[in-house]
Amino acid sequence: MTRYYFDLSNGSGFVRDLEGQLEESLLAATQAAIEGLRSVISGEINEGKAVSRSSFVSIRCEDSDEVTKVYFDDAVTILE
Amino acid sequence: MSVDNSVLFPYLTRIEQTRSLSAAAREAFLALPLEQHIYGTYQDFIKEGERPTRSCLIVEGVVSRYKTLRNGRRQISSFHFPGEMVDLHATLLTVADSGMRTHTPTTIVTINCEDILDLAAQYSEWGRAFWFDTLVDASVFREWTLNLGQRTAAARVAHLLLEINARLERIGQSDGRRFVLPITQLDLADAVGLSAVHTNRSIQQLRQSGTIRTQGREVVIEDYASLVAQAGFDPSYLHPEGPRR
Repeated sequence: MTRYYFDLSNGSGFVRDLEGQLEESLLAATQAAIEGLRSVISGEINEGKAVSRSSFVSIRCEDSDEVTKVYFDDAVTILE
Repeated sequence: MSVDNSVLFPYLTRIEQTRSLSAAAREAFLALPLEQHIYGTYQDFIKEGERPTRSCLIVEGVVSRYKTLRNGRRQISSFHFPGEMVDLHATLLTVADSGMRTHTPTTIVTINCEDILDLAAQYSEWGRAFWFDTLVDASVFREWTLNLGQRTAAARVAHLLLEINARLERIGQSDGRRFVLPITQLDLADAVGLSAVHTNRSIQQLRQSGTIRTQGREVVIEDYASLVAQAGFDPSYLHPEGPRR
């Protein structure tokens, strides 16, 4: 298990994750980031707030810089 | 393992804060045979589906009640703190409909369900006290249903922080404005039905609004009235005044 940190950037600013959470793999961490971003976006929609398409979650590993990013388009499918 | 019955005093004191017990009822409670169990962090001490024969009183630590879906998703439905009997309903319900796990190193004493039933049958004041405790548990579950179903993300987190503050204050672990949050961000997320990312962001919103300040696990409520207003928090659901009689 590795501790990953999930920093959020969206229309209302940047939120650094100081605590992180244990995940079995980077794949599991990426899935957690996707679910996290979906949760934030759906909350903004439910509250009638603007949703930023430039939102992303940056995943960090302990003692390292960013290992990957999950973008809005990774989390949400919009039919034009 | 024989246990010193002084571990029952916090629960007894809480009961006696809101009602009086006869000397015989008090003595009978303190004479209950106990077993002590010590657990590390994140240990399941009651598993969903099992048939418990003993009821648990927390001596030290923090535990939660939870249920899980088949895909592993977990919903915490309550937290419990020292001095609380966490599963009195197990004395009458034969199957555990939810699991219980520790969130910190935890000490628990257990009481045989048959002994609790005998105590309640022999002393009506204990019957009412145990009944009242399970009614308060149900009231908290109703409030949490409202929290999950109707409040915004930030309001859910604010509400839970205020509840934890109120309950820790009752046992002297909060001064009413400042406390150490005894659970992780992920545990908080599992209790308010949000992702950890969303929970972290909601905490940030509360910080930015100036209602709370955090440093590590310490939470300081800077503007109590504003936090209460944001959360729609009314502590009457915790029934601090005790039972009718």
